[in-house]
Amino acid sequence: MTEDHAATVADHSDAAHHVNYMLVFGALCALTLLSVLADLMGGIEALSNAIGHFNTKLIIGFIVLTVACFKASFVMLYFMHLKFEGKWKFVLLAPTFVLAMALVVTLAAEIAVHYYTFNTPQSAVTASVEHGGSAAPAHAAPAH
Amino acid sequence: MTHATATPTLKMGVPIPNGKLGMWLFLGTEIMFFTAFIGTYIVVRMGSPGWPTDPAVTHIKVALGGINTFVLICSSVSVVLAHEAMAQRNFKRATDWIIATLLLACVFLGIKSVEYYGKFDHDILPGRIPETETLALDKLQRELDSAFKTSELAVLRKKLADWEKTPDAETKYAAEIKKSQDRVTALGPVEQSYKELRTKIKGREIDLHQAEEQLTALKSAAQNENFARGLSSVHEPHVILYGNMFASSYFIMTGFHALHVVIGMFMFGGIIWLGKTQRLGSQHGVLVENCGLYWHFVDLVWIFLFPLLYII
Repeated sequence: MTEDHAATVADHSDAAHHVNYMLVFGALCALTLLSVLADLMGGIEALSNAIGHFNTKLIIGFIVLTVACFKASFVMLYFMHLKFEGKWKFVLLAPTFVLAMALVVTLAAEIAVHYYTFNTPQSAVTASVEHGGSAAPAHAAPAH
Repeated sequence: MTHATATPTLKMGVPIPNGKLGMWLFLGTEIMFFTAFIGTYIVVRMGSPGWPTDPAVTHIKVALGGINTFVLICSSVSVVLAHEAMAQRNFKRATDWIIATLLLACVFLGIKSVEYYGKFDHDILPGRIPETETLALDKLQRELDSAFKTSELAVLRKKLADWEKTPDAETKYAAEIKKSQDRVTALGPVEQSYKELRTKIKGREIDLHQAEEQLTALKSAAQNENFARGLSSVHEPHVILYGNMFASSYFIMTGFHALHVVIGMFMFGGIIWLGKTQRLGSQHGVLVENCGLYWHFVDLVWIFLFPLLYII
């Protein structure tokens, strides 16, 4: 296939699919605002006390990462026109997705999930703070 | 007998221009490049209880990250509108949209520079952050030494020593020598406080909290003196657990992202040059589309960096 012919094909395919980009833009802005609101939610002390500090962080993390996935989907589907591309997109992008997931899963087993007692200089400080030690944790340090 | 029926042309490969296929393959490698950093960051973060999240400590500003997200979303819209203008063969409008994208990229980098300045100013740099009290005192000792070496007092002492070596300096520079000696005398109490603090820190006679208080007192005592200028570079001693890994992750991810922004700006510069020299034509449709695909990918990476670095 020549470049000229291919360009014509591409032009034709673009012309066939009109996207309301301003609608996508609005959705992306609204989702960004939602992420910032979720961040502000973390600062509400009453909420943190009611459901626990760890749970609050977990919920906020879940919300903002879900929002990020939706935003990424909008960009890929409409701005990058993947919605209108052929099935080649799956062949091309599937391996990268597998690698991205595999990296996290394999490293997590060693680094994130502590089956054995975790022993690093930093974990000693954390343990000391948990048991009422004097080491200054990061969140206790005042602003510069 | 003739064979008049036309056989259909054999089409091989994917039904997109080769250039576009090349860009998608490149973006495939880019996805793996960034997911290596992002994935490792997520894992390290999950395995590090006590990771710094307080904005007062990390100097991460959610507002600046949010504005930059908005700026990149706007730039994604402008680049896709440039692509649409190319399809409609309106090359002037396409050039204008690319100029808008380039300007938005400048805004993004400007805000990023402000953030980087904050990190450098507070020494939130890989390998520089004390993660234990001993390291914090050690850093304070080093910074005090360095401040003293470059202080006005050290400069004056060196001048006086040089004059002593000069044969007729006492008559030639009498006024300057007198002035310098008076200044050294005036700075005496500040120097004394400095030396006391330095000795206490070196002998580990005080804890981090006391050291911080005494440093504040020393800075305030030297406030009206040029000596304070050197002391202003001495940071408050703070322990930031996992601070070095945090700084490394922050700089590697945002640094490579910013590098991609700069490369994108050069691409847009090329298109603008073609547009301004009236050479941008329908033959450049795939070029503009590829630059757009690259730019959307840059936006895509930021969409994940924003919550991971600024919010969670």
